[in-house]
Amino acid sequence: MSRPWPVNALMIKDPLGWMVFSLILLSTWLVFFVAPTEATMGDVQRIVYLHVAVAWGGLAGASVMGCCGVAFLIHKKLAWDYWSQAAGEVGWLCATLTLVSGSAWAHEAWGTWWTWEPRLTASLVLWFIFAGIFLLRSAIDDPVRRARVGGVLALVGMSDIPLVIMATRWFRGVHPVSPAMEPRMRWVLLVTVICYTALFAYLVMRRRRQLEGMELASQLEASAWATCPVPHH
Amino acid sequence: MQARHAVQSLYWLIRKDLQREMRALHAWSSMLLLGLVLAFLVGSQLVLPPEQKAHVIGGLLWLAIFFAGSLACEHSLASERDAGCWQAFALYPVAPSLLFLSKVITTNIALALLELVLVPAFVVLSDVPLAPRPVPLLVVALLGNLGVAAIGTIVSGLTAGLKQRSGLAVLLLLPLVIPVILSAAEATRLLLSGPLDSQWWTWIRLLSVFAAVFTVVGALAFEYVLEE
Amino acid sequence: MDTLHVTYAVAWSAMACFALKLAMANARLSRRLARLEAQARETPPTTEPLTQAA
Repeated sequence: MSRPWPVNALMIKDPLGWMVFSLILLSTWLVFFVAPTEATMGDVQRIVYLHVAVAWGGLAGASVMGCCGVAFLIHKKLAWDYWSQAAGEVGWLCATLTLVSGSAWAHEAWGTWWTWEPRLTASLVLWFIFAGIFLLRSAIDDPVRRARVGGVLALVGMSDIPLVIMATRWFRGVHPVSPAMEPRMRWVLLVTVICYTALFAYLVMRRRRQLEGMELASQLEASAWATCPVPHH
Repeated sequence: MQARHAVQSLYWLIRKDLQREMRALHAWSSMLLLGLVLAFLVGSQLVLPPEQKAHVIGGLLWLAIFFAGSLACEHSLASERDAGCWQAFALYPVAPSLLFLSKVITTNIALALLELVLVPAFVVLSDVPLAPRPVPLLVVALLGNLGVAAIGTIVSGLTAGLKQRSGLAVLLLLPLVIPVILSAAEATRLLLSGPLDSQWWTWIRLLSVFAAVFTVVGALAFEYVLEE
Repeated sequence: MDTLHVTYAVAWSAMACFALKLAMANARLSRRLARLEAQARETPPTTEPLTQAA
């Protein structure tokens, strides 16, 4: 409680936020005006830039959530749980967008919204695991117990993902792994992934700080109640 | 001495669970009944030529095993909480991994019992030849059970004591055991449709990796599941 | 409106919603903290422990 919570809470005044926002604008300009139009699919292929960025964000969010969950189990510091939860929330957002953008792309490329294909199935399972973890977390009030349950589940979920990928890959496969691209496309893709990663990292940082501040506030409230000079009857 | 103590505690822990189950019929009877209902539903809806039936029956059998078995999985640790024995269980003087192992073995017994009922029920009600190859089927069943029981025990420990626990337990369990269900279903399909080739062994390998990974992860993490 | 633009619009609005929700919760939180701080300044903590006071 010694460290005051930094009250630059209004994100509109946060220069870092504006920097991240301008990175997103940059990547948008690159995606829509600089990247060449693909020969067979036309403009719709530009979905791929977003899709790769959010898919990477989802996987990275899941890994950070798993690692921080394990770190909480070892060190018993709630600070690790804030990282874990923040990364998980942003990762879940990314996983949702991966499914949406992938579906839209598949509709144009394969003529169907969904097929039971390894990577699709694996990302759907990842989404379900995220959802289950958050559902269970929201059912627990005690922050320490919630963190412990979240940590164990993140560990179990993260060791499950490689197995899901193996199982579904042996099942059947049509997803492009890493297709040959024109250099300019590859370059735009790289920059886009970096820009969106910056956005996700920023959101995780803000969310983590907020979780910390919320814990601080409830501690302050509890101590205010304890020293409150109200006579009890 | 250490090993003997461990085996003895394991024996008593499992015996206690079985005894309680025999006396009160907490969860296993409803599990068996749900399995029969599912077998009946599948059998009545599955009007297909025999070779197509053999193609889909593996998946349906494993879905039925999962849904009925999730009752036993969920019950395995929640029962300690419901009976007010959680602390006594957690304080039992052996390593947490042994406590985990005892619960996994109990759940395995429940699932084996379920399969003893379900496989004949499937053979009778939907007329598929599951019987001619008992040994490969037994291998698939044993590995699949171990994986489901290991994850089920962890999830049961995490959801025990929550108000919405039964719904949450199944919701958490299903995405986690998808690799088991997929590979067990695929292995069952292959063993119904022809000789056991390298493809069958691939699925068996995946099942064993899954069972091994989750038994180890569960044994390591169980200490944190038990903490109050 | 085609698939490309709809997809990007959906993705951006989802991210914007996330950021907006975060910003609103942040504003609420800083108000709450400021109130707590003011409260703490008004009522200095009692010096004697609670057990004796009761």
